[in-house]
Amino acid sequence: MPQRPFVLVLFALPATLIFLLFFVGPFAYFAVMSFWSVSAYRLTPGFDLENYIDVFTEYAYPLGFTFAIALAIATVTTTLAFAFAYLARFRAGRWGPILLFVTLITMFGGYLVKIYAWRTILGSTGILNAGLLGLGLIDEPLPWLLYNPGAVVVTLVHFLLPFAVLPIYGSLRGIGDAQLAAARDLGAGPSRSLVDIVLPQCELGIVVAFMLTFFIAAGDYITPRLVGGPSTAMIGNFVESQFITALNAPQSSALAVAILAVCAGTIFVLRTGMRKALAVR
Amino acid sequence: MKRSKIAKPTNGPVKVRSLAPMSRRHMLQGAGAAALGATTIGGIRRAQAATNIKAMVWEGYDVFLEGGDYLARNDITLDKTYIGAAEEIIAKLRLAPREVDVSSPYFIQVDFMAAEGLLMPLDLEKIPNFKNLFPAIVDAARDNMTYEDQWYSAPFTWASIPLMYNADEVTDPMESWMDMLRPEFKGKSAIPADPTSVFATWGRVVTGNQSPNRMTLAELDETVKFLIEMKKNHLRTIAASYGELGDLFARKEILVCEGAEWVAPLAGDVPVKWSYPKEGTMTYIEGFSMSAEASDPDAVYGLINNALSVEGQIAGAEYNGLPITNADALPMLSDFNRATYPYDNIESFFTTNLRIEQMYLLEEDGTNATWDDYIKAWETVMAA
Repeated sequence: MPQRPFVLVLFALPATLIFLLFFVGPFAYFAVMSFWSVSAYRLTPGFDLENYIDVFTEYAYPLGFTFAIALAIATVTTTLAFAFAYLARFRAGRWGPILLFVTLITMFGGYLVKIYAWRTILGSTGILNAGLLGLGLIDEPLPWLLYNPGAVVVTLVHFLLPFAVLPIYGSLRGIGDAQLAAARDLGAGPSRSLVDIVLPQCELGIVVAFMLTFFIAAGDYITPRLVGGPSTAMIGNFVESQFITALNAPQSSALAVAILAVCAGTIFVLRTGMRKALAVR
Repeated sequence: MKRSKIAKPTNGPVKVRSLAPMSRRHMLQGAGAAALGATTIGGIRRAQAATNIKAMVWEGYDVFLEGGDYLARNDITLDKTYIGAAEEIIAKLRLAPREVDVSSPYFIQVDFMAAEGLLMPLDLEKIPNFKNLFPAIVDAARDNMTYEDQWYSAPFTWASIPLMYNADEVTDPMESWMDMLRPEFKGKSAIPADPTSVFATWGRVVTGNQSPNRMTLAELDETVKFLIEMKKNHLRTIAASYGELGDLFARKEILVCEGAEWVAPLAGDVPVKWSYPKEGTMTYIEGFSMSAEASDPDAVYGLINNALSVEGQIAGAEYNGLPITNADALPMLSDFNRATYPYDNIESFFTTNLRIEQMYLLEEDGTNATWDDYIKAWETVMAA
């Protein structure tokens, strides 16, 4: 029986209000403020494009660097997450749910704990260097393991992996075993089944996983500061600098809007590309 | 082992042992009594703590205000908001001045904040412990903490940004900031992510300008180039905080850094010492200020006076590893604190080793760099 429009609106109202109040409202405020200016710690309302000019001139390099490193993190994380979720769904049998449970458990570890754990692993006196020294494979600690962009990628991939596994596993659950059996009976190999049956049906899960990891990585400023070393400042560090140290909320708002635009553009390109690539032939 | 009182599940309805029969009427009566009780207790609590003071300070500085049992004796509760940057206090006082009674602004910003009408001038008669402060500290703080001959902040501690080193590994004297750039410290040194101290320290070294908060744009550019070179070719990292520097020493990631005296105990077993290089060492003096719209000025005066009292000084100094400003508290300090800070020759120490900076320019004067220029300069260093 079709629902009455009034009932549909009533059901959608709480979620809509929350969305407007906590997401659209604050973002709209920052978007408006991004055209304002600051003088002697005092906000001056107006319409000035200078903040956006700065974003694409003075902050172009950190913005590009952040885009590149977030892209790398999201790609690696989504690929690993897909492999793990595929294993848990189709290959691990009764161990599948246990693997998923273990993935969920790691989310209780906390963000900072994982960062500090990787510092302990990768540091000059860390577990990895100590192990290599103990095995006689190196004569002195390898300093390049920590305080560089690679350490940021490793740390964030580890942190974000559970966030990516869950949506992909959820979409893989919707694929029936019968479809894969039918493909096999018709002569399709594992890779053909993967490309023609699995990937098209879990495209949304992959996009969601990529979005989550890309967004979080692009906005992060703690990880680069703690494991990234002197030359891995990401755009979040500049938002923090402008917002907290300079008290320049308009400039930091413009940076935030730019990050969001870059993220939205990336997701649009990804979604369009994946739809074309996975279109049923 | 004591057995559970919960009945085992059966195939029929589960029977749970109850301690008292509960009817709808009983439940409503109970709820009413509970609500009345909660209201009464809340009322008693409010009556017991007649004064509520809102503090906006760095974490740990509240211990100075609370030192001893001052709050309990005076029926005061302290609502604390910890800051992540001193500028947050300016923003808060501008946007919601009644939400802050007492704060710990960065001392070079105090005269600016006073001129903006954000702070209340202090009546020193109501802070009797002020007269017990080390004269050297009062003299050093005077320019920044006064405006039109009135004090707007009361100094309760201070510290400096010396050259720190691992005393086990570094045996040669560290007399100049340039010693940090010796080849043996390549990849073994760090600076904090604190543009204020970095420019104050290295701006003086690079340009020779003795007022590094008032460098010209050319001098600022020169300092930026130097810092980028140092960052790319010499530093292990730029530490997220001063506390992080202690951790870097403890994990043997660094041997030298630009740090603060109170970082040394954070290095665990690594013996960290420090020197005050010949080019000078940046110093900061922390003071408590009263908001221009403080809800209860007398209560705030009492708290500030307590922060300068012997009890407040000892509590705050020992908790934070920071020095005292009240000479009367000296005999009660721990040996560690007394060994850390040069109380014996504090007069000459403040005049020879340390450097007190002035406020950055907030608006262009045609010659010197503004605060925005310094921030942009720091971001250039970060991005390079």
